[in-house]
Amino acid sequence: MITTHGLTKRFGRVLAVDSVDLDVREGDRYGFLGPNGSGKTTTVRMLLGLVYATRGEIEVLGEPIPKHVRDVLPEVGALVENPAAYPHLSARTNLTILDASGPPTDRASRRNRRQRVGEVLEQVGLASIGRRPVKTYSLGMRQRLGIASALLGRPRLLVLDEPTNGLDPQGIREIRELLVGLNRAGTTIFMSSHLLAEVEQLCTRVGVVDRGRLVAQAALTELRGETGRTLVRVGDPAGAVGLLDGRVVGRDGDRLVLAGTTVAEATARLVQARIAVHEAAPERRTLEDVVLGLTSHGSDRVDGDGHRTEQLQP
Amino acid sequence: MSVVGRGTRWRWAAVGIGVAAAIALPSVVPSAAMVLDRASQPAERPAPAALVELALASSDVAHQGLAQTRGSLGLPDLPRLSDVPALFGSTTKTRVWWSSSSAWRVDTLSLNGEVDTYGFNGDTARWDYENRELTFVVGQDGARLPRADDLLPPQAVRRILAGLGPADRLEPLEDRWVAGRAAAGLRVVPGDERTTVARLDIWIDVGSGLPVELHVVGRDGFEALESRFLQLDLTQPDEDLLLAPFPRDARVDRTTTPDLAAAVDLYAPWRLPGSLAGLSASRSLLGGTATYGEGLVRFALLPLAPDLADDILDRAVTAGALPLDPAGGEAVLVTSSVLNAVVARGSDREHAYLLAGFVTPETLEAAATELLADPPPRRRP
Amino acid sequence: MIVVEIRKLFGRRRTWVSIFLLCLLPTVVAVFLSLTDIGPRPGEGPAFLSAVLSNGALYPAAALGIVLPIFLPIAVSIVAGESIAGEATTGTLRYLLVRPVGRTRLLVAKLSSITLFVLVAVFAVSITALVVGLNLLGSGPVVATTTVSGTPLSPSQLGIRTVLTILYVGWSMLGVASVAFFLSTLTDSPLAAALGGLSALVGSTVLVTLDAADNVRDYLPTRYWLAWVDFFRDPILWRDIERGFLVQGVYVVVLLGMAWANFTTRDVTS
Repeated sequence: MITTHGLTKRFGRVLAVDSVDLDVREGDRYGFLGPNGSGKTTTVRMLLGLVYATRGEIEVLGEPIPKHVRDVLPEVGALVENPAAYPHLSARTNLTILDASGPPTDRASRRNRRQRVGEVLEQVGLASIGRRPVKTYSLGMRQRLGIASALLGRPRLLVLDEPTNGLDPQGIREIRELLVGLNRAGTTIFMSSHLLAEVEQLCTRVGVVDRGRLVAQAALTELRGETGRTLVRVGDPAGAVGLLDGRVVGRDGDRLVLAGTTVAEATARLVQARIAVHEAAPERRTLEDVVLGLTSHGSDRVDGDGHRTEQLQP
Repeated sequence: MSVVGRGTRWRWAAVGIGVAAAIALPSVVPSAAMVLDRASQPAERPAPAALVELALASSDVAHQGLAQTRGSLGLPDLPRLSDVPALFGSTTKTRVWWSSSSAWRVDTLSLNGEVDTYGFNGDTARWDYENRELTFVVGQDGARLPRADDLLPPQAVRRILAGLGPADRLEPLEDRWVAGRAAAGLRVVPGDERTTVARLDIWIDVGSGLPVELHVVGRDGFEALESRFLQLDLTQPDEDLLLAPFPRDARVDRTTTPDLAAAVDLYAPWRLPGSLAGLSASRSLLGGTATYGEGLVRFALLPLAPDLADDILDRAVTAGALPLDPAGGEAVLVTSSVLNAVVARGSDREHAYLLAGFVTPETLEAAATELLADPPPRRRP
Repeated sequence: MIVVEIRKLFGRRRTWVSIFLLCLLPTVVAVFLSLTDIGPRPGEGPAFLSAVLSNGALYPAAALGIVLPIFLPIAVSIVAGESIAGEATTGTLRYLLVRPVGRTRLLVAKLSSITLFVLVAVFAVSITALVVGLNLLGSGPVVATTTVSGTPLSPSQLGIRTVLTILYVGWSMLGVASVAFFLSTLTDSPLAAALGGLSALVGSTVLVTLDAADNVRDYLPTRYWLAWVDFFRDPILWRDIERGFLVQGVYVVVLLGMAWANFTTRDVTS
């Protein structure tokens, strides 16, 4: 769905995006993960033809960008950075105007506009908002409206930049369920985020950027590979430590971390020694470990006087 | 290679070419048109003397068009000079419809209105839009102040060329593109030292003899006056256009003395001498005013009413005029590039004069001194 | 898209308020004129104001003369400066572009709505002025309308010439609009674009009156703005009007070209 080769963007002397090779496949829920200022938004803008690449190639839905951007974008729904709307108009009017501005497609025609507007407002939970102008909306409501406008054209591909910004936990959950549902129905989702938990819960594939470079790109399960160590929870931790002497590298209450053994071997020996095994599994890396291992500080961290350390949050 | 890098360049290149074309067009088109027009005319230009003859015979050439006069003479704003300072000191746009010397119309355009002069058989009618005033000037053949139509190229050039003397030198000039035609050029270099004019550059339409452009350059190298047609059409104007309008709400005035000079001409009490400063009177003295000298060395002498002279003397000094100190009275000199004037008043407080012309201040001062030293006698009615 | 843009512009209260204010000024002037009966002295003040004292039918032209130097350009500048930069400020520009609306298409649509605004504004001023003029100031039959040259002007002639004036003034305003419009594609601040358009206008107005700038005067955008008075001469003096039309046209084409070249190739980072 999205492929880039050596995608590079330079703003004056600043290299914002540095030879990024993205590969988003059909049906993916792709999480584009990186600290603030790492080039996520610039990449998203390039994918949508808003910002022109300095070097490199982009293909979205099989077509080159920005050359055929006009053929591609009707099939793409997007949320770029913040949602935006005409503040003096209502949500419904905003969506109608936006829809009327662009070309109709088979799935999103002029005739079913009213129906589609109603549908997306329903989907994001703004159905009963009425005629209030957007300037009276809360941050979360605006975010919902932004997502609604991305869904309006019934797109095959959704490109969402920080889709859960400003939403409360309840809202985040709703949107997550909405996106998973859309994905099941065949929509590919590409979302950027600096929230690890969000990506971990929603995405099937992950790309990690740091300072404009793509430092990792793989299926979520692949990234969270096994560490080679084994986790067990036992009824008698002291006994277990004595039994598995030398293999235990960590202990937290009744939880033990074992090295140099496997789940099968460890459980077999514990069971033989009549120590109850409540849980046993190979240890997996958390996404946080992976990402923090790959990335540096966020670019908005200013060490010294002005301490701003808004980094990747677990 | 980014798609847009190339796009940027060609788009801006297209815009750049468009701008260049828009800038170049106004200069390229006339030059090309001039080459074409010149090719359609006889290869040989008439000799300067023949051009003078052609121009002098052009007073009845019908034409209509738009002319622009730019005077750079900073004349002081003296009382009762009507629009003369503006005429010689600023840019005036004028529309002309000229059927013959006895049927014409000249409109002086301003931002908010216009002043139109209609000429018919020696009489004139003047329509002033902003004052909604219609003035008929009847039977006037004496002296008057210059009007906008006097500065139009044909009138001004004919007046100058009519007075050429043997000492004045004629030289050919390069053709010039004036109001859509290639006009033959002529330079007049005055031979007499007493004139303030260094040279006159004149362009004449060879086909009709109509002068189309005039530049008057003073001895200081300063261009004092420039008058040229912006648009010219050598066709007979529509007769309806030559009839003065008669708006119902206009104030209508009928006069024989439209301005200061005409009033003075009528009032003129003195029998003026036959020659002054070595220049002899060149016009009938019957009216009590006179011009002295000939060709380009010529000045006008207007007797003034004493109170008016007082007024002018007072104002002229504050307006930057130079006080002179002649025997038998007082006088001030007003100089501005090519045009000089002297206002003089005798110590008897009766004799007062205005002398003005394209002559050196010394000439005027000499004339004024002579007048004050030997006051002319009163005319018999 | 064009229809959408026009609806957007004319659906705003701000648009109608500006048109209302434009119409208000000539109305106030007319009220004062009718109360005091004092016209400006010859050579001073806006054209035709003395003439309209006795004849209100000329007031539409005079009213255009009143709003032409400052008020109309300000209104037009604001609308044109707002066009692209305003969308950039609210952030809706990027959503329009990914909708997708072609960049050239967006420019054309914005330009159409600006043009319509200019036309509506000048027509609104003229019609208000006609109503006000006929009711408050002198009306036709008593004193025949005349041209500047003093010849009588029939109502149909007056109508034609007034409409020509309206179109000419509208065309002149399009020149201001294209400056602000170009700047609007350059910056993300609508205010900067509007002020930029106005400073170009003020600069040009100053240079036109400056003798030292004689060589460039005929190429300045405001050089022929006041030539609309020539419609009321008899016969009509076309030269300055034609030139004004052409000069303005060159500015419009060049600036729109620049707006297009810039906007279609620039990064939208707002």
